[in-house]
Amino acid sequence: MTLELEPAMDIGLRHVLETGLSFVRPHPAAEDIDNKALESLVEIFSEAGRGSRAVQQHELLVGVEERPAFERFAFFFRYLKDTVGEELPTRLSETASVFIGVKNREAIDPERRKRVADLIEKLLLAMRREAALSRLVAPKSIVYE
Amino acid sequence: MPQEELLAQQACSFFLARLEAEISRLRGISFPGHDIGPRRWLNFISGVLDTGRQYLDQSRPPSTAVGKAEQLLEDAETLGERAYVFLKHVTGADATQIPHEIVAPFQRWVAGLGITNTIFFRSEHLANYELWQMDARALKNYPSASQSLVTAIDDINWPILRVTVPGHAMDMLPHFAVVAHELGHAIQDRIKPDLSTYASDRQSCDSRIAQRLANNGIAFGSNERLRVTTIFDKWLNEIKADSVGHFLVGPAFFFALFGFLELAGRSYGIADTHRPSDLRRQLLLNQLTMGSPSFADVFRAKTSTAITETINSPNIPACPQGDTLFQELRTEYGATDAAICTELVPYLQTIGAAVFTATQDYLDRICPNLLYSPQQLNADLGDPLDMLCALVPPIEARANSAADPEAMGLASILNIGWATLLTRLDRIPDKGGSPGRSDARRFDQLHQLLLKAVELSEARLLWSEHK
Repeated sequence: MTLELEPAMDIGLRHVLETGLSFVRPHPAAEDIDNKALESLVEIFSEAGRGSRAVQQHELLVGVEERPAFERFAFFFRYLKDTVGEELPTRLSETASVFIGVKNREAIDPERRKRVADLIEKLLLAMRREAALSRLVAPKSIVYE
Repeated sequence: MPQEELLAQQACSFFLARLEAEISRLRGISFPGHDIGPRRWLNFISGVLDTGRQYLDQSRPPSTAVGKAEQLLEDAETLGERAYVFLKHVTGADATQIPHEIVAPFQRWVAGLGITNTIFFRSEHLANYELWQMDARALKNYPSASQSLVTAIDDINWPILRVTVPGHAMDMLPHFAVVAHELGHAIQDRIKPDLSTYASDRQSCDSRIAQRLANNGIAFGSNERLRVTTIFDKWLNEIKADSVGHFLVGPAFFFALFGFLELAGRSYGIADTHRPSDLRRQLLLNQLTMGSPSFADVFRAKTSTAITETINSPNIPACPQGDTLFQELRTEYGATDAAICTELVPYLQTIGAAVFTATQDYLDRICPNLLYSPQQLNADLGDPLDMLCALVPPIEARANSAADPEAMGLASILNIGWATLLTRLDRIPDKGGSPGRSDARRFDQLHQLLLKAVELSEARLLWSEHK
């Protein structure tokens, strides 16, 4: 699939992630919780976690059986492989479970909140960096020898 | 608000207005065939622009905090730039760019394959057939998405599909059989081959990859596993798409794909996206020679010509294998991808036939009438082939002498066209001109006859459907 809208330029995703950050700050007001964004966060991180498990188990057909999960994980891997490394599958699963907890209005351990915020901040930073470093088109010169 | 910000807002406003004008102009042109796809796409872009316009308007009141205003303006500019990029996808979709005769028959393939996605066809001045997909449902997550964007997103069956064919000098009708491959990509995830009997081949493949990586000081970690899955997925999808092309069009797909690669793709073909071209060709030829009678048997009986691997693609280079392939790929793609591609080649060759079987099983279930058979080829290469050589476009045929004539399908027309092109071009009369270009004039005449056949058989089909 051609990814026309580069994630780094996607306003919608950035908005959802920024909203996600506000959910894991200490004591978010219940009325501030945007349920639509929360549903998106649970879906995004759950799928990525599923995709990561399939790739860890080296399931070659994951692209066929679980394409959205596979593509989500590939997306997170692209942005977080350098800063999170081999911990990424665990961190994705943890993030999904924290947002499920927020959705169910459960008390979340502050350390887990902090780790989720850290993951999202790293993701946003990587996306911003990619956007900032996107190349401008240079003049081309072709000479046949 | 600083003066610079006001000027930037004005520039953005002008940009958005120009885009709106462009959309109005495009709404006024006609798109061939079933034109819902391009129009829904234009509605979607219009919704993106409306959202951008809302952001711009929200950035303007003096009461808006400076930082917030800057962010809103940046988002409005980003949406304008996205809309500009999105607009390029309908370039070449209008009736003056793509042969309008071919679109309705393509849409019959789309419907027959059970593809319900919003779709459109376009041509591009590029030697490329391509299926492009985009799923933009998540754009409903835009803060303050305009109602027009939400409505436009709801009106599209996502992912939206755009099939690109080469335009202008390369819109040669026989080659359009390749479109069946591209449509195969649209259903690839529904085809689920059972690879359990190849578990030991898979293990051997993994061991060989691990060994090559180790020889180059690379551990088989997460990155490498993801690359294996990604490359395998793409290669598998190419086999699926080839198999859909084969089952829909038979020999015409083989001739079209490798005739096209002979003209415009004389590389090994191997990359992280595709298996080597010569191995794709080998696998397809195996399919053409299977069964009794096979496609190859029928073709030889009717035309006295054998379908050989290189019948119309003698110059596609043979891809090296093993260590030689690894060395060549490493220079271009790095050791990880080189190791994976080198060792996936034999594994994919082993499972290829199973993928064709899975595709056939799937198509048998959902669209048995769409499958092209050696029996149909036998009928098509009888009277219709002779008539085409007498400059009568093949429009309809009888299944037997007692039956009513039925409109000729696109696959039949393409096969008759290829049989003429490869074995009887000399029977197409030459209208005369410079002596060295007789074959080109005959080919052009054949192309025009086939286009006419596609147009009239579609009209014939419409007439019989509404009778």
